[in-house]
Amino acid sequence: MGDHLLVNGLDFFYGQTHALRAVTLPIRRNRITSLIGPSGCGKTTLLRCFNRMHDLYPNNRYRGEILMDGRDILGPAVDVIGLRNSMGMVFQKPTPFPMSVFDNVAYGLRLKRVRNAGVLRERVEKALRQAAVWDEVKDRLGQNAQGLSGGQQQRLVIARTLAVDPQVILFDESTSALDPISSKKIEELMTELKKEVTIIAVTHNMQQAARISDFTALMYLGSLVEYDETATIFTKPRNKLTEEYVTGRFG
Amino acid sequence: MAIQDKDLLAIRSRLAVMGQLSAGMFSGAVEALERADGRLARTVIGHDAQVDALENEIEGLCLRFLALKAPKALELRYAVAVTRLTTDIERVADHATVMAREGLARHLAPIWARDRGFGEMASIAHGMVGQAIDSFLAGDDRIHADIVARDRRVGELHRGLNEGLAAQVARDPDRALDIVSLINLTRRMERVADHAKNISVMVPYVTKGILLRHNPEAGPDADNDD
Repeated sequence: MGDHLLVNGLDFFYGQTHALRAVTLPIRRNRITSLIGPSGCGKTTLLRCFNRMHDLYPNNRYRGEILMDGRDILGPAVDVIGLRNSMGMVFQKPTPFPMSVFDNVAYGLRLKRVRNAGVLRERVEKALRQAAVWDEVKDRLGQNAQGLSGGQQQRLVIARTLAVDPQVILFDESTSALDPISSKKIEELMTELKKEVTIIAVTHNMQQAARISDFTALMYLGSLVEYDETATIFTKPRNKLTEEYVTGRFG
Repeated sequence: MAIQDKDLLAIRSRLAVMGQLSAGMFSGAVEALERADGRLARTVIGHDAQVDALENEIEGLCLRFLALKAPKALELRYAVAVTRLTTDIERVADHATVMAREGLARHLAPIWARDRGFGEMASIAHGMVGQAIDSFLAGDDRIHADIVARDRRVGELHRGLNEGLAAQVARDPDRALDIVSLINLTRRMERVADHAKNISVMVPYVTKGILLRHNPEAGPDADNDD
């Protein structure tokens, strides 16, 4: 269970704004790493570096490297589409496409030119089962996905991500728009999914970070303040700022 | 009471090991005294470090559980109760260790054998510890009243034995040190019974949220004015 990813001396700029400062952080394989910190600390900015979402906007600039199994994914020769296939992302609000449940999950597979109906059915069912939503949608695969509840939609989105066999899944506040029961289901799902994939999760919910993650990184003003095993961060942090943040005295 | 959280289940299983070890140390210390068995006494003494290590381990697991899971209601009470219980269980092991040392230092078996009260006191105290720990592990608060009643019997035996021992000092001043040692032992057995009562008090706290710590005579169905 070594490092799957290594953020190494990473700086990031939105134009003139220096948003990440010399961040160095390992991401362990098949573990959940939570990124926590007050608003504007850079945690979402860091998350979006992993699948190069920032490339979609001009004037954004990376300096430093993110090694994935030893290869720099920020390099110019990297196939960004391929990278995004291997780095699934789940956002704060569920983002089902305006199409059927089945087509949502099959979407990425069809882009990858999987055409065989039997294979598609099999892969869609597998992904929906992995995302713990199969039993709830198996009788309505042809119905529009936007008719599902928020929690079901979020698990559908996770199934859509899983269908293309990602190595890493990035969760960006993925339970903050859900009710507590749906949140719990997603948390349980994340804990189950880490057997298959590496998970990086941005969360404002410290208790969630404590409950589900194996490692936690606290960020502040674009810098990494402290990274350690979650139990250490929440019981005996080394940094005074971490102590204050996890006890709710600042943030 | 159904504990389902896997961290709490792990804590409970370590607590079971600690409880079994401490109760075993107590009965071992008593047996070593009765039989003047130095080897058994040394085994008992050797287990003390294991109990200390288990106490630290369980405390660490509880701290981690409280910090990471921020439990509520039953799970919160359970974790808090365990942190208190480990202190009582560890003290039982400490008393057993001192009793085993006393047995090694002085040959007390003949005086012990003279009065059946020693054996009865030890047997009741040992039963109380085992049953209190079992009732906590099973979440069964029905045993509490029985523990309180047996604690009263231990108190009576303690007083009776002490009176007899005090009279013996007057009669046989040459054996004063041995007799003082036995007075010390009966006090420790009485303390072991108290720890059992402390453990049993935590069961209704976990199952129903009722604090009987300062009113242990009340049953788990009493109104809770705390």
